[in-house]
Amino acid sequence: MTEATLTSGQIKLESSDGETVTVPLNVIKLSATIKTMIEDLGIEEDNDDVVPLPNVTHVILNKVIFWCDHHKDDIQPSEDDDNKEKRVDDIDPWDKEFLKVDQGTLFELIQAANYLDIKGLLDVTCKTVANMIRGKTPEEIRKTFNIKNDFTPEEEEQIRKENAWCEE
Amino acid sequence: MAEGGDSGVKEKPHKKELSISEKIEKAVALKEDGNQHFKSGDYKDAVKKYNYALLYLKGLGEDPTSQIVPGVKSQSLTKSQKETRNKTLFACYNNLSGCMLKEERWDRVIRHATSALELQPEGNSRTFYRRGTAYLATGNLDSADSDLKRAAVLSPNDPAVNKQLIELGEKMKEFRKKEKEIYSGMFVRKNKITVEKN
Amino acid sequence: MADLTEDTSYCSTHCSKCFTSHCNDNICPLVMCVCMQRTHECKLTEHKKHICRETEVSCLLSEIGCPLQMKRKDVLEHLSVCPANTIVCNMRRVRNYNVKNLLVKHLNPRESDQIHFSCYIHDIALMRRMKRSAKRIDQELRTNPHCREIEAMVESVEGCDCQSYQYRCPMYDVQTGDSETVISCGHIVRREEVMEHRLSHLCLTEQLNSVSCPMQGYGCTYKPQAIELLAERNLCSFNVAVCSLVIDWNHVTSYEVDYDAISYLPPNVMDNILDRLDSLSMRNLSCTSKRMRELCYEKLYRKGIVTFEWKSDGKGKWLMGRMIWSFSKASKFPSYRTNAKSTSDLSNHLDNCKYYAKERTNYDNLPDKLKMSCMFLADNKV
Repeated sequence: MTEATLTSGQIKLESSDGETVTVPLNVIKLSATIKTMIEDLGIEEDNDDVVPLPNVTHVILNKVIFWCDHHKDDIQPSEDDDNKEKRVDDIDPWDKEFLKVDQGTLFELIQAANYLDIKGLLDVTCKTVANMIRGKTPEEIRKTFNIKNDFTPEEEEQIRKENAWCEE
Repeated sequence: MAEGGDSGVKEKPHKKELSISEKIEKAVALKEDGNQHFKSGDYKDAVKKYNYALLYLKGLGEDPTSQIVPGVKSQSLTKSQKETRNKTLFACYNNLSGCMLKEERWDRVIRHATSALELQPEGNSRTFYRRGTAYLATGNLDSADSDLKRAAVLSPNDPAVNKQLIELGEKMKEFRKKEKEIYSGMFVRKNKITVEKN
Repeated sequence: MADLTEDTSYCSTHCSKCFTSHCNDNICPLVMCVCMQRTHECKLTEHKKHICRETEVSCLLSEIGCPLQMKRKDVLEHLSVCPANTIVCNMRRVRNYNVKNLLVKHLNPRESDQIHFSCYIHDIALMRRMKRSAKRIDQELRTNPHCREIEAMVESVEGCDCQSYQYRCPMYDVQTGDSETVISCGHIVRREEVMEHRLSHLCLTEQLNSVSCPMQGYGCTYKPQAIELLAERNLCSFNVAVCSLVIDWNHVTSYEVDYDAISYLPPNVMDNILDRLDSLSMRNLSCTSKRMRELCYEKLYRKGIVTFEWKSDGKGKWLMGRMIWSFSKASKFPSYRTNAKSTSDLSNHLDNCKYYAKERTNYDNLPDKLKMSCMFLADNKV
């Protein structure tokens, strides 16, 4: 399966709630999961197979496809970039706008990006969550993410004082 | 902001989402289909079924604690569900590497066999045999050696494994011979210099 | 294999002095180590123990807490991110207070005035906590008609939660003289954080103390109000709850949500998020719930610091006590400093500062070469 074949051709995807959508290969190739599968299979033109995506709803799938379409011509980062320092301050304006969504959708996008193995989308959504954590006190973080405080009052006092893990 | 791109044919959502047990069932069924195709030599169809099975299983029940959260679908798996999921995932990757082996697509054999071993490091003899064969075919003799030896341990007296081991032995002999030639050449030269100094 | 019992004298005379990788002797032949170096067989053990780059060794800082093992060749790279490689920040600043002026501004506040005032309150609280006093400051305060009000504010700060995102570190060491107060930082940070941490001192110190016009000595009273720029751009604000300056990272409004999704993310995703957090955020996140604390705990080796307590042996000597793992309070700073506006303020002022007399030199009498360079310099305000 050459890169050339991946620039033409289409594939049919079916979401968990039954919506089928046809996507160009050069858009959906950003999903490593689907790209690997296509390369394994060797998709011919005019094939009618519908790929089931039972772990993504149609709303989120459409959003993901929209993102992939915008980023389809991006230069894919190499493995090396993984080792570089991880940043949060380099989200491009289009992505910022794309991610102006409620938290529920944001986390569903994260799950979808992880499921479909779309590194760029996963990175930018994680950066967004990291930015939502920074600059906040513990109480503010809890409030933002609705995290339940399950420390006992004694534990909490101890943590507040030292916030350390001690080895004897 | 637009919901999605205009990517062609759309059907209105009509299906109810599958439950976790239904997804696992479907995945197992697809794997069985794949096995049937594999046995009959329809490797392309087998690959398709295995890949579809993976799509049902990936991302299932990944929540690390097993609390049920109000408002969010319960994501936790029972113990037996986890076992079935892991077994089926392993089988799919393992058999995918088998399909790739038939098509002699060595890099993909290695990739899928490695995915299988990430799930179950003990693996089974087929996994190591397939990956070892692919390493051998691509010239990675050290990895081939380690994999094929493990395959031999897990499945002693297996003729296919033995065949590969023999071929590996030959290739290593050849390699060492070449290496010796290179190094001995070096020593000869060095000797010459020492003699001249004296 | 050489028969060493017979030829130990050979090895100790020849091999101990032979370092060539091409020695051809047959008594104690050369062998190759996994690291591709050749050595006499009798020296292989020593080589592996002390020299070989492929041997697993403890970190150089193992005695002060780093538990990690790595190949010798990777030690140097590890040191730059080693949790035991900590630095104590010794940044110092001088605060000159005029409480009367501050109060006047506070009572007729603009955002930036509030900030200056709140820093004043906080510095006093800090000094009280450190049990230091500055005679002049205390005196000024006592004689001020608003003393009670101010003391009340100081009290409320003293009770505040020190984990809030303050621009300054609570662990100041305060030395006071009669006319000025020198405050030094004392934060413990990771080596890789120290530049950013120092930058944050410079940023805010500069903003708060304000770089004044270079012509101040001649009488110019202009101070570029850079702190106003920060407030104006919603990058910093005055947090009443902690009575302190707070840097606002939130450029995106967060929507409320009625269930906890973040605690249920897959491990690889949490890794992705946690790897991007600075130390202070890790610290704060680890205080939110048991699960978060667990997740942050797993990142201690890569993002935390290890320090140790000193304990007295009762006889006048100090011994190393227990190791303490934690996250430093260092945080990343927004890159507003690169905004040209804040630096151009001062240079714009200089163009119009009446104390900045620009002399017009008569260049005509200068030799040509010199003429050119003088005019160039003048035109470019070098």
